[in-house]
Formats: sequence, C-alpha cells, structure tokens
Amino acid sequence: MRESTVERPSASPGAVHDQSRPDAVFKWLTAACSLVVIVIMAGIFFELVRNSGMAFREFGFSFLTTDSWNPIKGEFGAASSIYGTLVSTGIAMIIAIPLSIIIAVYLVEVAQPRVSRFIGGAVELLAAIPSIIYGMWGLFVFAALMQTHVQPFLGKHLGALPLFQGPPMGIGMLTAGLILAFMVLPFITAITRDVLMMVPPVLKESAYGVGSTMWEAVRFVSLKYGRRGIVGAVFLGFGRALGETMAVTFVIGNSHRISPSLFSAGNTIASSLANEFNEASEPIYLSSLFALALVLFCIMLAFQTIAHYWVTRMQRLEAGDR
Amino acid sequence: MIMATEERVLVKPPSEVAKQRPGEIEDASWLPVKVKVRNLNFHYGGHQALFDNSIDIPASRVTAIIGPSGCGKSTHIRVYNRIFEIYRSHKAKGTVEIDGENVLSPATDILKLRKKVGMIFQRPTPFPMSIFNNVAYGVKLHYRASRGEIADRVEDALKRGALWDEVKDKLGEPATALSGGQQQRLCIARAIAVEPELILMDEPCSAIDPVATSKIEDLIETLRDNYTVVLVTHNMQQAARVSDFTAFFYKGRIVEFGATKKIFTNPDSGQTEDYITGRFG
Repeated sequence: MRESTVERPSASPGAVHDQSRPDAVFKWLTAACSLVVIVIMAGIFFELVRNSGMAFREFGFSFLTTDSWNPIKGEFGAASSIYGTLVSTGIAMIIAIPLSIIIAVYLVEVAQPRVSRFIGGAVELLAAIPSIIYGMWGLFVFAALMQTHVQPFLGKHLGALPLFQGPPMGIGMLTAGLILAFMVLPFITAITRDVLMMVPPVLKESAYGVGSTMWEAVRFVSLKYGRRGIVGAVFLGFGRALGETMAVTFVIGNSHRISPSLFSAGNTIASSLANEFNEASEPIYLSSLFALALVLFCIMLAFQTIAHYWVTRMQRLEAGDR
Repeated sequence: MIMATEERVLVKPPSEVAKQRPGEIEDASWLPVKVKVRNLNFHYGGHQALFDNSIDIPASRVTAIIGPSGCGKSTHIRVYNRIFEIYRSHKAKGTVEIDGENVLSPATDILKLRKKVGMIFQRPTPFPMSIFNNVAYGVKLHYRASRGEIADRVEDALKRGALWDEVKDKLGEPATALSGGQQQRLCIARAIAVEPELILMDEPCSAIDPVATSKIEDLIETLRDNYTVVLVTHNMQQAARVSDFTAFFYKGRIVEFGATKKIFTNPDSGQTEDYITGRFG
C-alpha cells in the first residue's frame, strides 16, 4: 500500500505523541504468545526423537516392518500397532463419513426445526461424552452385543471373506472401529451441519428454481458448495480416530498380532502406549514405546499435511487458478 | 433431437401478436394472458405481506413490478413458481393461474412448474461447478439427452444468454471465476436452457455494475420475443426502458397496473404519480 501523502491534522498540535511504541509492544506480545505453539510442538518432537533413538539404533528400519513385540526377548516391532491404528481408523471413517453427512443433511434440509434442534443438541452431547465412558460402554454393552448378534450374523453371511472369520469374541478390531465411528460421528456431523447452514439461501432457491428435487439440490449444490468444509470436518474426525486411546484400549483386545480377521484382537499405537508404559522396565522397551509414539506423531503430521494440501488445492481449483 | 422425459411444451412463437417496441403498447386487453392472479394473499408467519393481489400478466411481453422496498414485489413473483414453499412459515392463499392452471393447487407437479417458470435472483447464483455444468445442470434434470445434445443445448442457451462469445473458450472453468454481470447472464442462460415459458427476474441488476446492467437490459429486450418476462425492479428508469407493462405495488397491494407508457406519463393513481416523480420511496 502507498503511504498517504495527506498530512493528518492533529486536533491539538501540542499533544502529538509517539504512537509506534505501544504498537511495538503489542506486536512483540502477540508474537511471543504465538511462539508458545512452536516451542511445544518442537519440544515434543525433540523429546520423542531423543528417547526413541535407542530403539531405532537397535532395530533400524525394520522396527516399522516387523510385527513381533516380545518384551521378554527384547524384540520390538511396530508393524502390528501401525496396522491396527490404520485399520481401526479406516473402519471408523468408512462408517462415520456417510452416516455423519446423512445426519447433517437431515438436520439442515429435511427435519422440522424443532426436531433438528433436538437431534442437533443430542449430537453435541455425544461429542461431549468423555472417551473413557465410550470405552466402558463399548466393553460392557456393545462388545456383548457384537458377540451375541453382530459377529455371528456377519460370520454366517459374509464368512467366506477372511475379514469375517474366526470366533466371535465381542472385542477386537471391528468393535474398536465401530466405537471409534460413534466417537468421531458427532464431530463430523456438527461441522458438516454448520457448513450446510452456511450455504446461501438464494443458492438453494436457485437450485430448486430450476426444478431440482430436494435430493438433487442437496447432492449437486449444497454439498458441493460446502465440500471444502466437509473435507476439513472429515480430517478432523480422522485425526481424532487416529489418536483415540482410552475407548480403543478397552475394546480392541490388545494383542500384538496382525490378523486378516476383523474379529480378532489387535492393538493400536495409542492403546499400546496406554497399556504398556507401566510395564516398561527395560530401557529398550521404554525406548521402543517412544519410537511408537514418534511413529504416531509422524502419521498425524503426514495426514495433516495431506489435508492441508488437499483443502488449499480445492480452494485453488474453485477460484479458477487466478 | 432431444428425447424428452415428459411431453415437451414448446414455446409458441408469438407471431399472432404483432411485436411492438417497449413503451409503444397502450392496451393489454387484446393480448393473451399468461398469468392470471386473483385474490392472492401472502403471510410470513403472522405477518401479512400481500393483500388481495389480482393481475393479468400478458404473454410474450415484459411486465415490470415497481414499488418501494418491502412492498411485496418479490414476494408476489415468488408465488408464481412456488419457491416460497421451501420455507415452512410462508403461506399463500388465492389463485395463480398460469396458462389456465392454478399453480397453488396441491395437484400441481412442482418440478414441471419450475421447469416452465424460470427464476433469476437478486444476486448471481452460479452453482459451484463449471460454466458448462451450470447450464447443463437443468437440462440433465429434465431431459434424457446424449452428451452431444446437451452440449448443443448449452451452446444455444449461452448464445441466447448473450454470454457465448465470452465463455466459449473456457467452458470448463468454475463459474465463480466469472464477473458478477457474466454470472448473472449465466444464470439467465441456465434458466433458458430448460425451455421455460415464463421468466421471473427478481431485481436481477441490483448487485451488478451499470455496464453489466445495460447488457442484461439488452438481453431482456431479446427475451421478449420468446418468453413472458416479469421483472421486479427498484430502478424506475429500468422499468421504463425495458418493460411493456408496469404494475405499481404499495404496502402489499397492487395500486395500479397498465401500459408502461401510461404509468410513467399519466398514471391514474396519485400514489403512483408520487412514487414515479420521486416524492416517496
């Protein structure tokens, strides 16, 4: 911007004082506060790298590819935890994304305002439930339901697939994924609902104005208009599912094995960390747990970066690259 | 040839009615009536916005609706395509007959109605998709057509919307990248693409600059040949320039309706005269 050439006349010429000093203080104060974020981030990363050093020196790259986790023999590999983290999160997202979007569409476009407020409130409450409660409910109620009804049903009808073979134990990868789905659902729903409410009424009117049905107006105009926000919501839910600890620890079975069946017990990085820090007596055990944490940190970072890149790319495409 | 999913209603060439320039028409009585409104009342929840509106909109002409803000101009035309219905608290009573059929009857097929009655809004409303898909959108909703046929239809609509020359090399670009005036012409092309008979324009130039406005006015001039246009406008000069007939609304009532020339030179009502001469509103 060009500096204004017009001198601003002072109301009382004698009272002119230096305005730059308070602004300099303000500038430094805000910058210093923001620096806290960087310091915390760098601090965590540094500690994870330092503490996991021993494990990576010992096992090298194979730490990521071996699934043996044997504290007695001192062998540690992250493969089963990485697998469990990605699979349970994957199950959660496959279920939660469509369900959340459908609920959000119902709340904004279909439901009577009173019904919408009621269910919307329930969605927000669902988001506020602490994860430990999801875990307890998952273990005592939901796992039993899975064992007696859902898993036998899946085994009977889809048992030909390796995914649904094995004894119905109630707990396991599938149950963990479902609990995760319930946990991320309110987040994705709430944000998607807000995004859909931001669609300008006049845009919806023009969609109806050319003769769209409600489905067509939602599918081709509202959801498309809000897609950037919805992608953001999905990634937020994704991040939460990846790092979720307590609820998963309750229902996943905590076994360091990779099994093709979703009925069998597994573990995630977060659940292993929660379970095993108390038992980690050997330095190499402790260091391996730190290495696991570093892996989770990097997975999160990678997905955040992808999300960021994707959203900005959509933004660019929408703006027509100008 | 495009196969229609329903019986196609083609626009009748208004050859039986000799064309006159806007402002030359003095009498509506010998023109066929496109929209016949009787005793239309409208409520926004508890607030009544229209009182006993009755009007005959002549076919194949441009009818302007003028009046001060909040007088019910937009509300009135929003009944014609029943777009008001997407809000639960909005209620219309009375009859609005388009080609003799009461659109407010529950038996009306609302999708066919909105195909027949296109609408342009105060702000340009390009859909979040490419220029081509914006225009193709309605075509795909209402017709079963091959890619080539859709492309032909899009080209035709963009030409009629006076936008083709400006966008023919960038049909794949997002519609939101166009200027405001171009976006509004795109919306007109999008409405035209489904072959409406009646086009409702709700202050189509209120959000765009004067140069773009004059392009849209030229476009309305050409639409006159094939469509019945109802134009709500704040701008009295615009009403005088482009319309054949003018209705003056005040506080939810139709104060006066007649040939534009008469309304602007020799209105019957003192209220109309006061508004035209700028004494209020």
